[in-house]
Amino acid sequence: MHSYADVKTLHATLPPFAPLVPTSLLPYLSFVLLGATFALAFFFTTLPTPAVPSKELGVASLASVLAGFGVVALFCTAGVYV
Amino acid sequence: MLLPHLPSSWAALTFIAVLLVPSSLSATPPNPAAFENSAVVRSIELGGATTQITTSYTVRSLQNKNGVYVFALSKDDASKTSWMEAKLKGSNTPLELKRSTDTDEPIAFYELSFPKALKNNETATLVLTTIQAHASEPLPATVRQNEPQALAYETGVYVLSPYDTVIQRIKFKSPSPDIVSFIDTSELSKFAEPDNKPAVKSGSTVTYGPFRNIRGSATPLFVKDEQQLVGVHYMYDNTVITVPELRRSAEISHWGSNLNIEDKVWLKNDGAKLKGHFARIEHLRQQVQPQTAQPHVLKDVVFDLPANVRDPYYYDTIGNVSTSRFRPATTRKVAGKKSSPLERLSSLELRPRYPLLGGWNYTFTLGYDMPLEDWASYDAAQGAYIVAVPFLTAIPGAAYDDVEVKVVLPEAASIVEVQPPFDTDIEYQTHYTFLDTVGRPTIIFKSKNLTDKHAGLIYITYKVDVRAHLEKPLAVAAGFLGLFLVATAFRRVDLRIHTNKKKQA
Repeated sequence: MHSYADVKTLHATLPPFAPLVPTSLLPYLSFVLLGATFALAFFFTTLPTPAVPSKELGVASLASVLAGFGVVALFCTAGVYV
Repeated sequence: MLLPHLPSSWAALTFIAVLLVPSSLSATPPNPAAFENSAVVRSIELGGATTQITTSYTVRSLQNKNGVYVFALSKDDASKTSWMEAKLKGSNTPLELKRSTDTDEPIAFYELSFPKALKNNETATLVLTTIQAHASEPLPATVRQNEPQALAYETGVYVLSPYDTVIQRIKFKSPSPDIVSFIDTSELSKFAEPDNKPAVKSGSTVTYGPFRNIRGSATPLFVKDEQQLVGVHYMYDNTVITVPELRRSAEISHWGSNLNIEDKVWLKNDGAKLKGHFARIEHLRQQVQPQTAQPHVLKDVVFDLPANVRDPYYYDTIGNVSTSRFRPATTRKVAGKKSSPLERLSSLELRPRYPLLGGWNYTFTLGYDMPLEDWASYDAAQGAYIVAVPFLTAIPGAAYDDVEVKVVLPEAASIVEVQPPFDTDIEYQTHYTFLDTVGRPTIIFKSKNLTDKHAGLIYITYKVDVRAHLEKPLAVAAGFLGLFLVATAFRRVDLRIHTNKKKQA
């Protein structure tokens, strides 16, 4: 347990917070990621439907992951800092 | 231990009362033979909602290894006191001050620990600064729209102290020389010098004293028999602002690198209440002819926000309030040095929808975003983040009655340490908002009876590992994957209508 004065000096001297992705890139990142998600979703609808949907699930997982990051970036760009 | 100043029955009662006090409080009464106050000067700066009192004690130690000095305040004064600080004269570091009595004791004692114990006959000068909230009352309690406002402040004339005082005086400093009256009775000459008038007004200062040779006065008997109430009735040309309720919510976002602060403020003009009706035409006339304007009407409030604040919003129950002016400030970027966002202040001038006359209230919501780089640091040694959240935005001279600050940490964070700037009640909760699955740990600080001196920083140390950072995008990805799985299933279902040509034949 630190004292208040200790935490205060620690806070002042430590390096500042840096986000995983720089905030200036977030609008462009959201556009690119959501664009890719859109394109992959269209591609998904053109795939054949075999008994074991391995290719469909593969494309779906990739599209979902891109969508996840894209939506978070979109929310931050819009001003809803999630 | 029998105290020489009290009758023996009081001493016995005090001794028994001391035994009954729970062991968590320091139960020993102050030793009156430990110190002697060579001079005590109390200076009261009269204000509106808050009053600042600076008392300077020049003490002489009567014992060796004297490390503890005890201040005394009457129960009345202690209940009005919202902030207290003691320093050695000339030094900037506040000394440790601890209240050693319960809140319902008739005299409140505060123990101060000297950084270096005093030897016999050594002197020191202590400066005790206290801020009282709601200590001045409007007198008359109601005024018409075009009448000026006056406040009255009353207190005991003798400074209470468990030690003998050789000479003491008390000064009231009014903000303007316009003093209506001050209390002056013949009872005050008991300890005063025979040829001097005990109460003297000079400019905007009223001085009572000097009073000589008052023995240890920190007893209920002294307060009952000897203490005299004195006071000043002064014109007050400023607004008396009270914030009866303040709810602050600070939300930290790691993905957006943002600290959002939202204040729900209840603002009140606590000055002389309005007598009669509010006439808009009279109000406009006062604006057009400034010499007739009554300055105690609250027309706008200026908030000094930190630098790099962006996107402020200001609305009330009706909707957005457009009568505001935001003057942003940015920090100077010096290479290799971390800039503090509190060096330069942005200014946000808010004008309520209607002017606040005496006794009127206004509630509104004020919010703004700040970059998290200015407020949070990363400690690689602990693998944790340390964030500083301002407790409240000070309105100069305002009294805050009930404040609650809610700090919402990023999702799946784990709290390491919480350091508020002063003692408050702390509660923990979980808050759910956009794109949340497990919820965000929330810390709620509750405090009552604050002033603008309490605008310090809360330090919170918390950990968010990489897996926790990915909580949000993966939650959204899971939602999308669900939709894709539904689509995969639906693609295999044939919903076409079949015409069976063979059966028709």
